Amino acid sequence: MSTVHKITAASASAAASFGGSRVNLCYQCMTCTLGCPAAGRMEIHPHAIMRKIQLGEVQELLVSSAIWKCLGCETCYSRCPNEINIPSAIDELKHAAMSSGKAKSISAAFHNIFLGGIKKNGLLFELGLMLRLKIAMKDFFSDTFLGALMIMKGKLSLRPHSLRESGAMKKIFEKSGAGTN
Amino acid sequence: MKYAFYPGCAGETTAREYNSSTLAVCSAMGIELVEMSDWNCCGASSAHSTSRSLAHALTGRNLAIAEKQAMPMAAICPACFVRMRETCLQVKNGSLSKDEISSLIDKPYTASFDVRHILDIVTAETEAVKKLVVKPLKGLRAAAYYGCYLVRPRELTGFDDTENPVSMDNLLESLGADAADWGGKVDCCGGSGSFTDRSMVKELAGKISDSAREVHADVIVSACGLCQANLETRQSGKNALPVVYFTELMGLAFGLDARKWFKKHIINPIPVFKKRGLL
Ligand code: SF4
Ligand code: SF4
Repeated sequence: MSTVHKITAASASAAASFGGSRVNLCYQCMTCTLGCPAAGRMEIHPHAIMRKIQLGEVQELLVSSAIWKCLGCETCYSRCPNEINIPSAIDELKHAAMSSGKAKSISAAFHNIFLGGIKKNGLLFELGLMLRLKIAMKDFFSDTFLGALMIMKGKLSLRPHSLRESGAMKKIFEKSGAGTN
Repeated sequence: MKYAFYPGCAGETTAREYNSSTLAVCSAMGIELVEMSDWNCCGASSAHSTSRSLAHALTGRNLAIAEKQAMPMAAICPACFVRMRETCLQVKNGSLSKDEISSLIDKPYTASFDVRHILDIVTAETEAVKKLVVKPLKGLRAAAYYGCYLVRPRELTGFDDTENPVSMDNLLESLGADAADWGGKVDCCGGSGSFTDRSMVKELAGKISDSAREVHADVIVSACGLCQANLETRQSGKNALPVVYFTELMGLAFGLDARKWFKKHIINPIPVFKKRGLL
């Protein structure tokens, strides 16, 4: 027998402001999913993510890989007849997954490595990012030719940059409570 | 007009030729771009995916620096542009208070100046562009690619149309090129997954280059360093289609030395321009 899902007063009011968007207005027309470039790789499609938020089944979304497949392209938002900011609601799920340590995705690891670099250097240091990511993904051989070509063309710097206002980044990270390594 | 110029991280590295061609064509048009002092990374999708305060703080510091220079900000990267503009608009409409942002970044910020993308700035001056064309790009069939963040979400970018934008097409026509009508204009290239989901990015970039080939485009024209790199390196292997920046084409039509920019590309666009008698 399948479980009966119900929207409760609590889940409805949570959905009404989820991620600053009015997820409660979603009527499952699926326009978002039909135009989503990542839907084919999501185990829970964007419209179904909205439904689960309405039902208060957020825990399941936090451990999903679907939220990390979202590219943030904003196609769904610009087409939704109810103007629901779907990517913002998905961002909210990502934030909760990250801060509760539930995020199980290479993308979450990527964001941590990326931001760790920004905290240290202020600017993106691509080569450092690529190397740390290769270690995290245990993927040492892909794109090495491409990387070498970029270096030859003077497109990748070999040394990180640093800000003149020293300590500015560290302070910003501390004040905004974002704990990256 | 003077702008505080934000090149962004890619403008310093993988999109070097976008940065230098922008500076060259703007200087030809009399648009003064003053590089911001000591700017930092906008945080990109990583900050946005991690924490709202962090995302606003990283963009806010840059906005405060531009505000101190008393100029609107001009950005070349659509992703940086949309992130900065989001913080700027939220402070303007009060959903993020001036005190809150100023305390996060330890600098005053009052959202007194606008944030604009360079495509928006140059396409607002079509007459000035036309006057500078000395070598019309006759015979060049170009597919204008806008991607996501120039046009979406509408209330943030305030630029052109979300489904069928035309400003870059009109610009290409005023340079003398033939702007192709095609279906890939605003499709996502998968840029934010370029490090973590290569197969998805290959599929998306492949579809975009295939649609451009279907309408017999000679080049795809981009306004984003990340999309450009993605489309150049992840499109399907056969008959690789060069991906150039709109600023490089402006430079070529203005009679500037565009060859030095084209040499930086992974897919060499020089043969296409030679074939059309433009180089
Ligand atoms: S497009 Fe909007 S209303 Fe339709 S299913 Fe998606 S979120 Fe719901
Ligand atoms: S923003 Fe995310 S969910 Fe929406 S269409 Fe793009 S990839 Fe799909």
